[in-house]
Amino acid sequence: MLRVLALLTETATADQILSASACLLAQAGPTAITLLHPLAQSDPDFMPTEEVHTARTDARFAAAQQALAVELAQRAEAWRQTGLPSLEIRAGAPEQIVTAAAREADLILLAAPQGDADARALLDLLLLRLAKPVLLLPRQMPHSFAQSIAIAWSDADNAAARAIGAVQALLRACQRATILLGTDSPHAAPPPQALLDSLEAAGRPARLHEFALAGRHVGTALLAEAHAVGADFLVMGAFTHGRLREILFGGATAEVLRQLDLPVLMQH
Amino acid sequence: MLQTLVVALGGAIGSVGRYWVAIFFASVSKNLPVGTIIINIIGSFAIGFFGSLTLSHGKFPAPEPVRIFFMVGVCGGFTTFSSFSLQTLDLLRGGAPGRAFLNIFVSVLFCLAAVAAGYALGTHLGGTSAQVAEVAQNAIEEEAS
Repeated sequence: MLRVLALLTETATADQILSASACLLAQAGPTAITLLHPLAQSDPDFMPTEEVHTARTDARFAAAQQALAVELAQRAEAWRQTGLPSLEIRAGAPEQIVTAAAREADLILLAAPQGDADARALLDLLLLRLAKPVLLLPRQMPHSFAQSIAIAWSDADNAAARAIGAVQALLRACQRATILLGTDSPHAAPPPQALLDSLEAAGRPARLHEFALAGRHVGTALLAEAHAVGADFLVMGAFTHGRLREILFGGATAEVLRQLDLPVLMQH
Repeated sequence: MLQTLVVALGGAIGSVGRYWVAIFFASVSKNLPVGTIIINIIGSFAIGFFGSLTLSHGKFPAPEPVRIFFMVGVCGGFTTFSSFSLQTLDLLRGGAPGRAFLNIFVSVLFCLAAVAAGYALGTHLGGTSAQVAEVAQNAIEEEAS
């Protein structure tokens, strides 16, 4: 049984999360989905040393949060006929709520952060601190879901191999699995036999797609090559060189996050 | 270069000090930014006191880098007009104009009082006024003769 936690945090991406949840339910074999909205009770942007809040400010924030929760719950209800459950709304500190729920999940669904510091902090929490596989969804979903799965591979990247564990059922159900290998990447290495064997064991022998970076950034190239092989789903390791180094020098994860236009499963 | 470095060092100390004081008073700053008011009063008193105490004609003259370190760096980093402004705006936007104007009134009045008190104390301890008056008197007499 695949336990999926789908986090609904904003209306703009609610339908993407719900759509992907419904697809997982239909394609990933036995799946238990929890739709969760962490209802913040205090403004996460409030800086008590620099700002002061009045009762009206707090009431305005609470009303906005409540309205968001109601809107998300209504969106979720519209998807009930696909077998999805109702939205669970838990009030408190979002980080604590998500941490507790994520510990019980095998896979987390989250909208890709778009320069939103809170969403980015949530992703860091899930990927780095909780080491969970996170399926990041773009603002615009592809027409199909996980019918053609691309797996980005590099020598530093047994995270991708671990991420595959979370989507074994999707790999069995997909029409095509492709391993992407950048031949002139500084981390280029043939995929280990164990990975190929595990894919074969999963019922989906993968074909290898070698490509040259040709001066492109790794993240940019991965997305482009995923599209080139017709993939609608990408699996990759995340922050394999460490979060700090990614922040300071950039990295494939940050590039993919910036340009993400198809569902990407990341695992640190 | 030295002056820039001492400002940077003093600013770091002052900023961190302000942050700590603000954290300490955060729990009582829900209705009025008490932390910021206290920070600005302390900073105003300190710059008045140190500024007058370390004048070159006083009992405790300090070299320029020391005065820059404390008055520009430490006091500049410690006090905050930006937080005061933001908090006043927060109160106005949050439907509490009375508290916003109270914040302005208390901050300006008490900070001016504090800098005056600090200056007076520094002058008293440093004996600056008398010396300055003496120097001025001498200058006037020289001019007259």
